[in-house]
Amino acid sequence: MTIDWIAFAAEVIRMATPLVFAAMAALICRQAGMFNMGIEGMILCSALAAATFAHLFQNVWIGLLGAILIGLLTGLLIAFVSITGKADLYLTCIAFNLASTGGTVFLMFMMTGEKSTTSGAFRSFQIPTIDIPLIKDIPVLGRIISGQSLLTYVAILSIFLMWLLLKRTRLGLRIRAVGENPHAAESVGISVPKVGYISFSICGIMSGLAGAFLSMSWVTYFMRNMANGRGYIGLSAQNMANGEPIGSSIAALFFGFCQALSITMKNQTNFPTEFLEMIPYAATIIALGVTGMLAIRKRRKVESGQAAAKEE
Amino acid sequence: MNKKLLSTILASTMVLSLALTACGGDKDTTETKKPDDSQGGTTTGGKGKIAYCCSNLGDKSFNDSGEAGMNILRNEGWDVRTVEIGDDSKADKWTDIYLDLIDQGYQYIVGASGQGDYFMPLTSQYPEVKFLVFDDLRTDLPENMSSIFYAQNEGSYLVGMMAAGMSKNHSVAVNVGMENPVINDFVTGFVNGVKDYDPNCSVVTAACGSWADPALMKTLCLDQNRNNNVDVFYQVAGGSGDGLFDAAMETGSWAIGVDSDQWQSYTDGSNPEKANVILTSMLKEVGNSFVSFFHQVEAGEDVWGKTVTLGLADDSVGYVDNDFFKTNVPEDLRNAMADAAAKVKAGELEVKSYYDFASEADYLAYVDAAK
Repeated sequence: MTIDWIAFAAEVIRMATPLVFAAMAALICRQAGMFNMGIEGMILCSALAAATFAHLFQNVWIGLLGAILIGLLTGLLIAFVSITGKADLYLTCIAFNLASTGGTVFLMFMMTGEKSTTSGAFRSFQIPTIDIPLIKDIPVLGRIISGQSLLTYVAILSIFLMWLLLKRTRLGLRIRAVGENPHAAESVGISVPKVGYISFSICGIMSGLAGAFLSMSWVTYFMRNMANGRGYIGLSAQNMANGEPIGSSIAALFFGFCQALSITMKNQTNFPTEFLEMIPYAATIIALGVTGMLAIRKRRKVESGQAAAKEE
Repeated sequence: MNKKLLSTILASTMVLSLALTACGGDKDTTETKKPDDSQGGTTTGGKGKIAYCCSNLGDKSFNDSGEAGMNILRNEGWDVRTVEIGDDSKADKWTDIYLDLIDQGYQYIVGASGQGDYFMPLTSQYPEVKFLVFDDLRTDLPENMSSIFYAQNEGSYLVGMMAAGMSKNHSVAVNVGMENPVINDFVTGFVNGVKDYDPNCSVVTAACGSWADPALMKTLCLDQNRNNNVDVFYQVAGGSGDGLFDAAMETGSWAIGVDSDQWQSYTDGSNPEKANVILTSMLKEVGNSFVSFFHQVEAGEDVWGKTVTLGLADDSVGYVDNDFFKTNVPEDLRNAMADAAAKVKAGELEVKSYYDFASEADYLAYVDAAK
């Protein structure tokens, strides 16, 4: 048994791509003070949109645009119901996720007469993979980093764009201000609903990219319920890093690693499958517990430091 | 806060979600045929009202094959209603659906393996209703229930021989959606076939953990191709199986389909180039078994309270022998498969079955030894 660990590392990056997008989608809402569970459903809708638009226009890029558009629209829908309609965000998201599970199958059935997958009815389109010049010739790194899907590089870029947006722009400052304390933000003239809509739009674009990656890059068709919990994993990735872009993407990479590891172990060891399938999710709970404890310890240190300073 | 608005929006969201999931095909009737006045009514012989409860149509294999059989019965004048009752996660609603159907006068309730346990309590309450559970091997059958069992190990044995013969690297894989007794029977037969044809050929067995995650299945197969040199893949994984065909295409390997002719369904679809990796498919003729079963019922034969096992000898399992298969599989291998099929039919060759193992541990040991 020889395991190709370099290819394994490349696989980790591929598996982490949709999780990174989902984490970016989750963290922009989190920074604006909203916990958007609807990402799972948004990814699912976008995945169907990607396959559908690409087939209708026989063009992969229109498929990608369609996925982003539907991601945007579904994000704005949740924003409308919860911000303008003042409905409870959690309930809206749960209702939206349930509706999209059934709704995507319903739409697929209307369009294709199929209830399971579009692989037979729709022409498949794949977003191209890219060989990076120079880097592809570096022995180990080249095989890991080069030759990935275009969307994987977009995911890496989006991490830094998100960081720039939040830390270096006026809009980012406003989003964080609203997330920190909406009333205080309002009192200095920031429109809280407007900021909310903007964050949901960015969230929608990120979910759209995640959906497009699933149905136009990893595989090339839509299948019922194909998000398979990846939106939720993205949510917990951002939760582990308190909504920080770089930390969240490292967490997403960690989850990708756990998924890839469970696959390799299924093939190479005799561990019971059910145990291996637990790994990514068990890792989520353990990681959340550990990061939570670290945060508490840090806060205690700060508090005891302050107390000591007062005594002096 | 505007409470009225909030409650209105909440209510409409809930209604919308319910409406959409219902339309999505969880409990939705696809085809009904008005009862024929002259027929129906008696439970002994003659044509009656059948309710076919399948999880979801559109899988292009198992459930659709059953539906095809039911369509034949419909054309013969049976009153058949197909009800899509959803997968195991909707099992809490199953009993209610059966009770509704019994109230509506359906005399024959037909369901797949997972539903047998839900039939059992109803059999004593409704002795006049007959229950048929297919794809299940049961020993505890009451008088008004029967089960049809398919010898999927026999069909898998033959495609296992082919996999061993076609593999250049002497390494093949069988990838399933989730493990259960019926699925393990597929695996047992396949491993048996591979090892009988080429003892040096290794078989990797893995479960992708979902029937609808083609992306994960694709990654699983790519990993097997890289690390185990697998170059022939056999899928028993429902929707996830599409990912296996993708991986076979990407790595230039062969694939084997399951339940129905998957080469044909890809060739007829929008992506015919994907068909070119599917050498053959292991067939499980669910539909044919319904037709022959209900013909026996019509003739008034005593078919209840028994388990019927259908195998190669009954033409209920087998493999697709199409032009693509003939072009790509060498003649001596094809002849070897046909010879083995004839031997199994004649009872000269017995294929290992999952149900023969004394315990789960024995089965796992058998599968691990093949690696």
